[in-house]
Amino acid sequence: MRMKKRLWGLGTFGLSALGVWMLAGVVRAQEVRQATTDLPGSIVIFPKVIWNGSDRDTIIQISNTTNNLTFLHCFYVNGAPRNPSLPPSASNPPVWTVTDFELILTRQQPTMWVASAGRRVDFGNPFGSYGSGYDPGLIPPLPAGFTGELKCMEVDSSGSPLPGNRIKGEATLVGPGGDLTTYNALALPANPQPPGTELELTLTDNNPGGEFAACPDTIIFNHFAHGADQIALSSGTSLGAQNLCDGPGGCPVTTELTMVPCSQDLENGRPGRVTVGFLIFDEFEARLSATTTVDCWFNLPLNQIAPAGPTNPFTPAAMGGSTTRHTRIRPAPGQGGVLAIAEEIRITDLGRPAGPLTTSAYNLYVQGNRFDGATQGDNDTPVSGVTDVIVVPAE
Amino acid sequence: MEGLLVVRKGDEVMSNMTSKRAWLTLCAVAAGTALFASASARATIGSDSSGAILVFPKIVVDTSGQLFGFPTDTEVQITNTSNSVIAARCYWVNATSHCSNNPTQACRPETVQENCATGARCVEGWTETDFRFTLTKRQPISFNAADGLPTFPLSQQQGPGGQSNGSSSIPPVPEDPFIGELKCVQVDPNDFRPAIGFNPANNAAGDLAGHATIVTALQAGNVTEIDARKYNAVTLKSTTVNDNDDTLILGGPNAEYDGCPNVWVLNHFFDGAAVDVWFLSGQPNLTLRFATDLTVVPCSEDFLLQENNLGGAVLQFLVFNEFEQRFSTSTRFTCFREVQLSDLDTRPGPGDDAFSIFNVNVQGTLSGQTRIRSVTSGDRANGIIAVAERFVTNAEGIRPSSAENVHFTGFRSGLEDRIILSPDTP
Repeated sequence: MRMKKRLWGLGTFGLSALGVWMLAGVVRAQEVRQATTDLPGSIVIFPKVIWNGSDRDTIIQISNTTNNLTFLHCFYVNGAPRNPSLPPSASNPPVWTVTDFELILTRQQPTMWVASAGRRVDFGNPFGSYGSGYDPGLIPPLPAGFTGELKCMEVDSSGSPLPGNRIKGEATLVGPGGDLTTYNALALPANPQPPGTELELTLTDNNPGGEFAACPDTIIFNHFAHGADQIALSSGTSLGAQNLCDGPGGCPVTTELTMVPCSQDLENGRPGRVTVGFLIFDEFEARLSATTTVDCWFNLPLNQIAPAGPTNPFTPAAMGGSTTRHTRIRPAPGQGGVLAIAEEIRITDLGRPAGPLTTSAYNLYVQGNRFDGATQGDNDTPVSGVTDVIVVPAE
Repeated sequence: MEGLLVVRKGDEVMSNMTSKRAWLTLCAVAAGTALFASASARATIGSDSSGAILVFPKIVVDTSGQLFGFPTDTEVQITNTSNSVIAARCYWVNATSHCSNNPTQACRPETVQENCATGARCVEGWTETDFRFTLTKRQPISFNAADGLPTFPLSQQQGPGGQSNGSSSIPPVPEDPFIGELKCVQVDPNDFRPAIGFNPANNAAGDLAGHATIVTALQAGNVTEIDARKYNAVTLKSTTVNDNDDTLILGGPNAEYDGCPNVWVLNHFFDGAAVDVWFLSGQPNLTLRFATDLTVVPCSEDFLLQENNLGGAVLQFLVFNEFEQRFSTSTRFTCFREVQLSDLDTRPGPGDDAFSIFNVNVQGTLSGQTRIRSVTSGDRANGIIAVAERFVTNAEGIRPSSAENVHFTGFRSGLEDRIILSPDTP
């Protein structure tokens, strides 16, 4: 048997009930009907987990925010390209292999592990050392070269999905020199009133009632133009006196965008695939656009999303040298949602072959959800909703 | 084809309807209004969706590095997520402390002995500097706190839609060194009175979004590097009920904006925790020693009297380690608190951090979960807003860092916070 977890669906309400919902439920929609990085949920997704085998590793933290014993079923999804020496492309797709494991968290228990090490069940760990505490379960170490996501969902003791909204998480990426950056896992809250035992059934799109919050309709991505000089470092009255922009490469800030599709068939190994559009505004209200495809796992610097050249909308040159961007990311009409995080990379080129850099990951703002607030174009006009589905292997 | 009448602010009527369906719809509107009122008080704040009040709890400027050890500035990004012109009234809240014997000398409680002469105290400050600006459709702006944004991108010209920033201007922070917060309230662009959001896609809950990046030039010996840590501004959403006066009611039965959360839930490493990373053949190649800083600001603030007569509370901390063992402590704060976790229950500075319940030497596990709850008083919710930062020490003695928004849960039923704005002066 396989189980499908349908991400939030309204079900078959009467017309008046729909009217009530449309007009009155809007504020409540902020709470439970879309992915969140502020609240605990029943599914937590870490879109960017990396262990490159040398100097980029990831520390995962997950905690149970309630007083109930909590069981988790987790999946590492490897999105590394089949040929790691070549950039990802249609001819070099992601390997998309899935490794799952199970965790148990006692009340309010936090736990952590390092991606490259995993975590053993070992009751002999010394006080204050790695692994000290109640081990939540055997967590496998990741192979070098892993680039992908981690997804954990709350289940009951039998392994069936459970809508408890108990878990939250953070990922800390550790880079060269101990460079540190942290983002919150994206959480999908469960429907507060799940329809009976449906969680254990194979659901279809026309079943009444959804199980989890829908993915966002629009992702609001504020960033600097790719390669623009850092504001503070280039200001003579701020940090300019540190001369960190004096090298031939200046002190650019670039941004990497990571996206994962919301729909995934983890049982049959079918990765999600979503075409997303970008509407890019700068501080002069100029507007450009771009599109790309999210195939299993997407992680690219912004300047590689569109063809290189002076018209690349993410670069300063394309928009008259402007440095600040507001990009709205929206899946193509009728397609499922994506979840995303961004990571800024700040470089100070002091003439060294590879100038010092620092990274800072951040969660993105969202607007609406793909099921009941799907919109199209710049006028936020509603269009028909979309249901995302995650298929989990049977226990 | 006949359809349901659905009207959203800013949209046109989407279809026709029969009189019977009109009656049904009116019933739905009435029921919806009632539900809306109840739902409003339950709305939550957020750091991942736009809102009508934007809070940056921690802004740091120290361009010479005299107070925080390294030259530091904060880059701020603010965006209008709607397709309408919006405006905001903002406040730099200066919480920089100064020596009791030298009011021009900035200080920190942790380093008062170095900053001030012997015997002096570090006296908390709290003053505000207000400003206002207009943002055109979808417009993003960015600036560093040390410089502000004296001239807006569309002040001298109009955008493609004929919109402009008018006389908008953002002053630099009032002093250097500076530590404090930035708070912005969405207002009507015509009269600059507090208003609900414009964009129906934001549920009329507000259209402001923002990020802050604290940038530091780190120096160890001859090595100079940069470090940046970024967090999202916390947004409070409009309940879409607003009397447009300068007293903003957060939560409670008459809420104009979201109430602040009941409990903040922080996952962290215990101070001093040594985390090994970069495992090759089972052996780690780098060890990081963590410390966590917490910054909290009150939800209630009185910008009119410029007095700390609304904010502040006792904060209760419940700490759980990986053995499910529970500890607690509490502290009092007034208008702004930025503190390393280990200093919450010990004296400021590193001297006795090893005795803190936030220290790995006490807890014995590397990670912990801390639940932070402010104590209510009378009819006031005493809500708070928090962000956290992680610092590690590497082999070169440099302290790379990261910032994160803190999770939260619950709301405070029946209790409110208030922000009282100072008079708007163009």
